[in-house]
Amino acid sequence: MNTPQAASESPQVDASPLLDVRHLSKRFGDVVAVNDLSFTVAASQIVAMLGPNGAGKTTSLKCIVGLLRPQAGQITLAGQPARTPQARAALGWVPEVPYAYELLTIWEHMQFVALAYRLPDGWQERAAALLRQFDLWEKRSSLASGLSKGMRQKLVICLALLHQPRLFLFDEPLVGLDPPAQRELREIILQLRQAGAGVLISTHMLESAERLCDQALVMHKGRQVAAGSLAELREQFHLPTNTPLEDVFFEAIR
Amino acid sequence: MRAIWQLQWWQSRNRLRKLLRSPGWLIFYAVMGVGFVTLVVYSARTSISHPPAAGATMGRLPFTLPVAISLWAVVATLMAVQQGTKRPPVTFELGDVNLLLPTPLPPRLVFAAQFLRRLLGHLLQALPSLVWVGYLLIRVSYRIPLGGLVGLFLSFFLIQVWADAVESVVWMALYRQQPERAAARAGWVRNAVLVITIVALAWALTPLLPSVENPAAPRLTALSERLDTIAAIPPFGWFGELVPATPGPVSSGSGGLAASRPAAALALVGLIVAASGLAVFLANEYYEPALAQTEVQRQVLAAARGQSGTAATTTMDTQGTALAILGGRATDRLASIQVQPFGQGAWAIAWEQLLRYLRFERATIVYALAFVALFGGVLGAIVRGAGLPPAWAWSIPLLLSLLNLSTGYLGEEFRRPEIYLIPDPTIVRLLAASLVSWWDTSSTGSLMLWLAALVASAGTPTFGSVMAGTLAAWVLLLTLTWLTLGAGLLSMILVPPWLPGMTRVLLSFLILLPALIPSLAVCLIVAWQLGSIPAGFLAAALPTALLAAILFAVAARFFDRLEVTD
Repeated sequence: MNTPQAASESPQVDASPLLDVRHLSKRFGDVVAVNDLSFTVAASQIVAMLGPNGAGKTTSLKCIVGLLRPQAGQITLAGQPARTPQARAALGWVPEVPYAYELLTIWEHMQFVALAYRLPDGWQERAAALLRQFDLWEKRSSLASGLSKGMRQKLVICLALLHQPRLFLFDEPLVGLDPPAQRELREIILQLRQAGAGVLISTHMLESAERLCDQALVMHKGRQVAAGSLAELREQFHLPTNTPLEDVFFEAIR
Repeated sequence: MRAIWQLQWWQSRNRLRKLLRSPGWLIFYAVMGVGFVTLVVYSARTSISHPPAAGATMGRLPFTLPVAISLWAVVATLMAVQQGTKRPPVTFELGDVNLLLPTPLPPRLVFAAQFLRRLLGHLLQALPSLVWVGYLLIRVSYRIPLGGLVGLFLSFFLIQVWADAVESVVWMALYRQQPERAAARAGWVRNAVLVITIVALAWALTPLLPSVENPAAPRLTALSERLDTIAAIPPFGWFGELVPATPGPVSSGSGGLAASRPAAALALVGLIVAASGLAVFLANEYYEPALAQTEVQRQVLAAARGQSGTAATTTMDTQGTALAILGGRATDRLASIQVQPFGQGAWAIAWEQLLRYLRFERATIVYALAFVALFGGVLGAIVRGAGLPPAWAWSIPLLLSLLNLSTGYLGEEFRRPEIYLIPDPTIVRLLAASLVSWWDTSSTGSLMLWLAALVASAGTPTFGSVMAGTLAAWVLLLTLTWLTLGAGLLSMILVPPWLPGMTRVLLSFLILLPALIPSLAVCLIVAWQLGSIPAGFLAAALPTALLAAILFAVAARFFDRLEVTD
């Protein structure tokens, strides 16, 4: 397993959050998609972003990635403003729709990421290991246009892991993966946390979120309606200690 | 930077590999290559045996080649400004969104790379244009020396790059602002373009209007002088100066501006570099509007075509709330038109098509109507100004209706289950599914026909007879549209889906051409016997309608053979 650069960083990284979102607001015309959202993701922490369709999860992720321009708020990645090259270099993104370049082979995708992130020599071994881990090595010379949806999902995950970012954003990462790949990805996410990376996962799969995450952030109609560890959320909504995340979620968005 | 070049190189190389397996593409470029070599050989021989004919007019048209090039530059610039108000100059693939945009590569660099890639594309696209235009010019006895060929190529290429740069500057300047302000200013810019176009056209065409002081013969000269004036405006005039046969008085044959050509080319290159540099400078915050506009266009098109199901697999991450909301706003505007349901069984297909047609056309109706009306108006003005018989105003819309072999909404219906499942006779299902396509194509042809005839004859003593003739031509146009639709339908059913799309187009022509013979024969015989072209049109409408019915009946007979690919 490849470990993120955070693993070898000094402990000061842990002092400040890897992702710091403050008072983020994004609207489209009269529609407010995200309203005054604030949260953090620390090193060695997995945060689940939960919410029904249209809650503003993907909009928030796209603001963090830099695809959307927020109307208000600050986003800091690894201590840098989100739009700077240094901040982007610290970020790995796995989008929900796993589109890649149709006319590039799997290996050319890996080469592209290595060039774009200016990776030093040695990335080839890491790339090969990742492709083997996700059963893509045998297909490394195939064009992406010939891959199934699940394989594309695996490819996009490999690409996000290759440059060893310190913060990962996953948007519905388990959708479209076969059961072995789902298990593989869950293990990788846990290993990333162990290696010191921060992980933010937007998902509807509450069972997986409950198993993986340290913190949950529940959004509804663009607003943050609850945040904290599962125990804190249960306490916030006066629920018994063994209440599953699913029940907490429905309580939060009620 | 290297990452982007490498990405472009891999994509281009792999695309080329795919294209090399496509016989249609190979044949096209082989033909273009042969055409290009022939043109160069011809030009080299012309250069040796004949000096360039400076100021030579293009056949009977009232302008010289340099003026035509400059006018094209004017039109391309206006269109670029108009496009720059609504269409992003960058096109992001789905892979770009997921893999390129989140990287640390600066947005300006991403835009510059796209701009340069398009520049290379324009170089390739200029080749077929050069071959076609060169061949047409030779056909109208226009001499093209080798230097002229180079100038022609440069003018085609630089006009495209210039238009690209203008479009980029307009779009980047508008959409770096907040969306509401950008949308308002884009509206102002579009209106300004519309006003400039109308004023320029009105000013240029005024000499064609009849008056006592302005007899018929000098009208074209007056039109020509006005076109020269528009074409001389810098920087548009510089494009014309790229071509050696520079304008001067047609009679004198002394162009004399050949020496200024390199200066014009240099000035144009400098101007284009400056405009491109400005676009790159402005390109710092454009990912969101570029993605949103691309997505909205796709969603509107998909909604209009009834392909919402397929749109989900081809759009740019529709899960994004931002894009979904923007798309939703666009489709909300479309949804405000309502039509009460009519018909039962297969006729319900006609209702849902009409609904989609009206909603889609509402979004584009102004420009579609303006274009068709402009074409009809210019045709009528030319017929009137040049003193041509009214048959010209009738024939051109009729001929254009034959070129429209698209099956439009009818073809789209075959990708949906209803047309196969509704328990009505096949011929009824096909007729019901054809109604809106027929209306779509015949209405634009009708508008062009009536407007051309009106402009050509209004206020003249022959107005009444021209209008009566137009009525006869219109009846023929309505039946011709059915016939072309029937040819397209039959070819779609007979051609297996695994054959290239060009095969279907060729087969449509092969069906249409013999089907036209009876109509043409009847038209000629009646027109000759009665001495009236409108009578010929009216008589030809009958066999045309009959043959259209036969094509539909044959299509219904073979409907079970239809194979659908998507």
